[in-house]
Formats: sequence, C-alpha cells, structure tokens
Amino acid sequence: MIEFRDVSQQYQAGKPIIRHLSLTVSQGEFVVLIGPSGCGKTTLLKMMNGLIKPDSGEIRIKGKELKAWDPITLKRNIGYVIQQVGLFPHLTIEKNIAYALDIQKASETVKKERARELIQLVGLEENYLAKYPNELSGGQKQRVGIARALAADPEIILMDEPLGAVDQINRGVLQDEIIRIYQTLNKTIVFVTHDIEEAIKLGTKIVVMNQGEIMEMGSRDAIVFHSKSHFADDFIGNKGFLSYLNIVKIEQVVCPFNGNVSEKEITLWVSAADPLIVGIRICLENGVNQIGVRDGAGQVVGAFDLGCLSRLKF
Amino acid sequence: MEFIKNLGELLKTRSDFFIELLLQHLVLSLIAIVIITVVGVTTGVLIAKSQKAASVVIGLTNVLYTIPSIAMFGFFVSITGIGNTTAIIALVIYGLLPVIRNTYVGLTEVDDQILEAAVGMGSTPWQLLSKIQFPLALPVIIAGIRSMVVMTIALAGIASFIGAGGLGVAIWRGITTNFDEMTVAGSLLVALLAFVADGILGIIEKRLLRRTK
Ligand SMILES: Nc1ncnc2c1ncn2[C@@H]1O[C@H](COP(=O)(O)OP(=O)(O)OP(=O)(O)O)[C@@H](O)[C@H]1O
Ligand SMILES: [Mg+2]
Repeated sequence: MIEFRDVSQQYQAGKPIIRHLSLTVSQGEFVVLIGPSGCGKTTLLKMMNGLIKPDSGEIRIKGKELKAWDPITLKRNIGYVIQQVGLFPHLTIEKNIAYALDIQKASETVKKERARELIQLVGLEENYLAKYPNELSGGQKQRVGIARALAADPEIILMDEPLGAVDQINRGVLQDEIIRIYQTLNKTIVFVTHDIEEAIKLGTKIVVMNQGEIMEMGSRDAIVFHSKSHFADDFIGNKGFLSYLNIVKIEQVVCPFNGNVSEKEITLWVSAADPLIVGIRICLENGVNQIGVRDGAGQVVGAFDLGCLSRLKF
Repeated sequence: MEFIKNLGELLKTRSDFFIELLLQHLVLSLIAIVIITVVGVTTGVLIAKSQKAASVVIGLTNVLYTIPSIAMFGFFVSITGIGNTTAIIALVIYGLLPVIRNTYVGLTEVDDQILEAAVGMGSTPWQLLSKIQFPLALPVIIAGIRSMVVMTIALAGIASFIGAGGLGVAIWRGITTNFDEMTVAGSLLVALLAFVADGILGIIEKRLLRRTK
C-alpha cells in the first residue's frame, strides 16, 4: 500500500530529518509510529500524502510511484488528521466534516447524511453539527478532526497524534472506536503517537523512530520482548511491558488445568476478556500460581497459570 | 444660532440642488469604490502568491498614497483633462493601497495549520482560495474596504475643483462666493454620507467577525 525505499529528506542543507528510511505498510495494517519529539514522525507522514517531497529515494503509494500521482487525486485518496487538528474556523462542524466531499462536488444530501453518520461514529451528539469549532473543547475538536478524515471513505488514513488532547477516559473510548473503524471498515492506518501504551494497544506493527531512522519495527510482541536495538529497549522498556500486560487479554494465554488440580478445587476466577495484569494481580494477591478463566457467558474455558505465561510464544 | 438657522433654511430652500449634488457625489464615489474594490482585491489575491511581487506592489501604492491629493488631481488634469473621468482615476489610485494591503495581509495571515489541512485533504488551489483563505481573510479585507470607502467619499469632495460633480460643487461655490452656509452645508453632507457608509460596513464587518473568531 505504502512503500518507502531508501528515502531521505532535509529542510536545510546538512540537517537531514529522514535518513535512508525504508518502510512498507501493507494493505490492512495498522502501523504506529512512535519516537521522541522531533525525530521526524510528522515529516514521514506528510511524505505519504505528498505534502512533503523527498530529496532522494522512492515512494510508492498503492503500487504507483509518488511522482506519477496527480497530487490532488493522491490527497483525496488518503484521509489525513493533522497534528494540530486544523479545523476550519469559519465553517460549522457539519461543513468541516463534509469538506472532503464538498471539494469533490458531492450533493448536499450526501454531505449532510455523511456528517450525521460520522459525528455519531466519533461519539458526539448531532447538535454539534451546527456549532463552530471555537465552541468545542480540544478533545471534541480532535474527534471532529477524525470524522473529517473519514468523510470521503479513503482506504488509507494518516493520523498525527489524533488523541493528544483527549483525557485518559475518553482516550480509551476513542482508541476502541478507532480499532473498531479499522476492523469494520477495513482501512490501512498509519498513526503517530507519543504514548507507548497507545502504540501497543493500537498497532499491528509498531515502528520506533529516532533522528530520522527506524530503530526497530515489528508486532507488539516483538517490540516488547525481542527488540534488538538499545534505543528501542530503553524507549519502550518496562512501560511498554506494563502496557502489554494491560492490553493483551487473558483469552490469548488460557491453558489447560495443571495436572493434579481439578476444576472444582479452583476458587479464584477471572474473565477471559480481562487483561493479563488482572490475572497476575489475583495470583500475587492470593499467593497462587493458577486461577480459573470463564468466558462472558460464565462458561469455564480453562486456567490462567503464571507458569504457563512464561511458556507463551511471544 | 443665526448661522445654524440660515443653514437649515438654505438646505430646505435649495434641497433639490443639494439632493442632486448628493446623488452625483454618491455615483462618483460608488464608481470609484467599485473599481477600487475589484482592482484592489484582485491585485491583493495575485500578489499573495509571491512575496517579491507583494513588496513591489505595496511599496508602489504606498508611494502614490503619500502624494498630496491636490497635486495628484493636478497631475491627472494635465493628462486626461478636467471632469469626472480624471476625478475617478485619481480616487482609484488613492483608494487602492488599503484594499491591496489588507487583502494581501488577510490572505497571508491565515493559519498554516488550516491551510495544511485543506491542502492535505486535496483542495485545488482555487478551492483553497475560495473556500478557505478568502472567507478567513474577509474580515480584514472588509476593514480595508471600509477605510477606503470613507476616504473616497471625503476625497470626492475635492474632485469638484477639477470640474467633477458632487457635493464639492457646493463647497467650492461657498468658498468662492464667500457664502459660509453653503460651504458648511456641503461639508456636512459629505461627512454624513461617509458616516452612514462607515456605519453600514461596520455592521457587515461585525457579522463576519462573529463567525470566524
Ligand atoms: N518546515 C520545516 N522547516 C524546517 N525544519 C522543520 C520543518 N518542519 C519540521 N522541521 C524540523 O524537522 C524535525 C522533525 O520534525 P517533525 O515535525 O517531523 O517531528 P515529529 O517527530 O513529528 O515531532 P513531534 O513528536 O514533536 O510532533 C524537527 O527537528 C523540526 O524542527
Ligand atoms: Mg509531529
């Protein structure tokens, strides 16, 4: 879907921002870019929709070289949530959301319909449609920014720290929403964040960057347990591990009951949908190695076992 | 007191005369205002694309702006003769500066992030201008037009010195015949016209500001 081959870019001579970077984003992937401030995440994202042209290297979008794309058509094929939201202050929320459709000359009814659909999708009430951006909180603006990027139903969506201004609780809700959009609408997403937990929760592939280079890239398991670079190790570290325990569900590590213990002797239970950390906590609190796991309907599905955990193939 | 009574008397008895001059004044100013707005806004839009062009054009209009009005009128009389045409040319040249400058400033001061979002979503250059930049710059542009309108209406009073119509005729006649009431009546009407025009534009400006802030 998106291919970078040996791409370099600099704004000023002698100060490279992106250095010989290669990256492939396949169809249906959810790629999260993470790294320290100024490492080039936004720059990389802007190269994906042609806002910034690379000095050297090759970029292909949907198999076609960047230079071969009509720059406007390319941008219309890619949803973009910019880092500072950038809502249009003179337009209502409805018109903001429908902007991508407006410039592609969609009918009024289509635009209205779509705006109504999307405002619900991002969890705002319909009466917000008539408001202007200055009447919204920072977090509400970011939701509108996400809705706006989805309007023309692009296959690829680029999101630059789209949840930076949302509080912790709503952040979780919106993250789930983004995962839902990703899974149900079958999108390819490239997502920038500063938040390690967010990266581990959302990404099917996590890319750790530093000073314009990719330090490490892989699945959440690979990034948390098998990073090969010092930088990524330090950057992700225990915080990443903790996030991992907070995110991976117990259902992914259920094992059979350990030999001499029978199901009836188990008194402690967790739900299969709980994160690993809940199971670990219960074990530690009660000084046991093994507890039972039930699914949402209350059916026994197996055991959660600290010994089993270490045998997991991450 | 006597003077004010005389003034009222004059305006009443010669009302036809004053109304005609007022209309002439209005038409003269309006023609100039329309030309200035069209030329000024277009120029402002065109130079907004290039900083170099902008500094040249704005510098030039700045220089023209500092030429005393009498000298400017005199200069054009020597080229295009006396009459309305000359008056309009001079008025246009004076009025361009605030409109060009404000259009340019308004357009170039639109927040980069907003532009980036619009470009990033695939706006064409024309869509960017018409749907984003221009509406956002509108309050600043209107402010420029507002000061230009007041200035043009006032300046049109001097245009009669070079044979154009308008309320300047009354002022001029008052001065040359030592008829103070006539001079004051003409000036008052010019001021009134400028005041009303300013008020109307002020209301429009406020409406626009409420939307975009
Ligand atoms: N238009 C520009 N001109 C010159 N330098 C720039 C420009 N935009 C960005 N830079 C520089 O490029 C580097 C990378 O910027 P970029 O915005 O890609 O970082 P980032 O990883 O997105 O950072 P953050 O996490 O703070 O958003 C920074 O050092 C920045 O100062
Ligand atoms: Mg950034």
